[in-house]
Amino acid sequence: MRSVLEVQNLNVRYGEIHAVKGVSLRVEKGEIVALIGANGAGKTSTLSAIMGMIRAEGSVKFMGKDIERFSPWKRAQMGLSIVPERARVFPNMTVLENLEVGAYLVKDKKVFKERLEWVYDIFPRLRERQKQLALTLSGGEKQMLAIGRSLMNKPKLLLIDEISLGLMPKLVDEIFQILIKLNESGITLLISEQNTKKALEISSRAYVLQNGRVVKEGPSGELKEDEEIRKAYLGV
Amino acid sequence: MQIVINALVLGSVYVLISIGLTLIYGILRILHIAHAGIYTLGAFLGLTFYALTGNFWLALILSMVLTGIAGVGVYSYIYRRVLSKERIVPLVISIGLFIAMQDLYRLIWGAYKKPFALDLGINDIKGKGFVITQHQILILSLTGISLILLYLLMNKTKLGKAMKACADDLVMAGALGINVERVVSFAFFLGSALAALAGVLIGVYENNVYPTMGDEVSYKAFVVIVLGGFGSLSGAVVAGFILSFAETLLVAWKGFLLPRDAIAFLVMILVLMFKPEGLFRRAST
Repeated sequence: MRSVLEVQNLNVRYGEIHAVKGVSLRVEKGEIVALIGANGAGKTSTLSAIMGMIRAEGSVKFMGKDIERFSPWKRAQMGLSIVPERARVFPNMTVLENLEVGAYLVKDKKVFKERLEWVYDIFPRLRERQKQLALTLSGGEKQMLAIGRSLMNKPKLLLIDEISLGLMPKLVDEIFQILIKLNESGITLLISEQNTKKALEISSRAYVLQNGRVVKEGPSGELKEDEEIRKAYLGV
Repeated sequence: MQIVINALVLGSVYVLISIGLTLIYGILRILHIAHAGIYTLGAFLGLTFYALTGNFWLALILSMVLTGIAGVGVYSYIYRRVLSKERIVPLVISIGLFIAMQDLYRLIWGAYKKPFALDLGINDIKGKGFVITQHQILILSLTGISLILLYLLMNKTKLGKAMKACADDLVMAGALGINVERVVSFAFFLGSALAALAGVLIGVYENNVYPTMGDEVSYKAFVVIVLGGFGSLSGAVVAGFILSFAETLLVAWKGFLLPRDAIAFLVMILVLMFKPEGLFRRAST
């Protein structure tokens, strides 16, 4: 079976700082895979590099194709999308315009309407606020908009970076439920999370990052029971 | 009334020039000083094609298209290569480029003022105590049309929305499938074509075109983008007219000592002191 995503020996440098040091990972079709680790472990850099948003070295295969030389927009065309850290919605555009930009690659008007309805059904809040500028949204609403925006292109693999950051626990639960539903509808997910407990609950496998390296990997159920992980990340 | 008309005409030209600067600053955060050189190029090309063909409209369109292409060239051969450097690098390059452009124009077209005499055969509009000359009619109507088209482009088309998204967050826009290279090139094309329009219009209005005609414009346009809130298009439009009215009214007010160019800077310094984010703030990511 061919993996949806296969990353080998990924390296990211910011000047003198070596943020990602030879990370390798893979994601199979239909999975939810989690990247866990502390702040600064290299999770965001890894996801940004997979999307092509920052410079990186190493091999990145998506749907069996080498994409490491591709521009981000080419990767988006192939079915890769990202919900970046802190949502990064377009602040001076309305909610609807943000979703329209997310559907930039959708040429068919009918398909666009369907997707928009689909997103509005998942996040009724966005429908209510569609004429509002994105900068007026709350933190949680911005995250919803960022998810909705990435869904407009119906990605095959969705990268989700620290979705729970700064959100109220109740909202985190709600959004994780939505992620599970999206996964059931056929979207493969690679999520990075500081909320280790939650991440291990919804994922099937996980990679633990520390100082830019993968220090552990395995089925999430096993990692949950791992003594070191319980101490370091679950506070048990 | 006459003062209002004069201010509107002046403001129109400020706005046309500032649109390109605002688009480019908004997307790339580059202060594109050489834009004033692009404006001068537009004026010279317009004059040259008018002399060759005798058809003003053809000359105007040719000038806008070619100047637009020159603008894209400035982006792809110069700015694109230094985007990852600190912002001071493209700024210094831009200043050098502007000076080099002026010298180049001097070599090609000579150092002296060349007349740009145009009779469109339209009658001046005369009212009680005011006259709108044919050239003023030309400027006001072309600016009006340009602004309407620009508004439709930015708000009703996919390309316009892609440009707005790029101005808000260039990298994110790319990750959503927008070919950022193409959008930035288009912004340079559009901004440069509008600068060419402004150059031709001013050439006709003042009846001369010369290599250093961009000097005054280079700093005026800055005042407009600072007032307009760094990268906000509607802000730049409003700011262009505020500036032209401030200048025209204060100059008309007898006894005011400062020349009009000093007024522009006085306004900018005051705004920067009390409202450093400009009059119309945009949110940043």
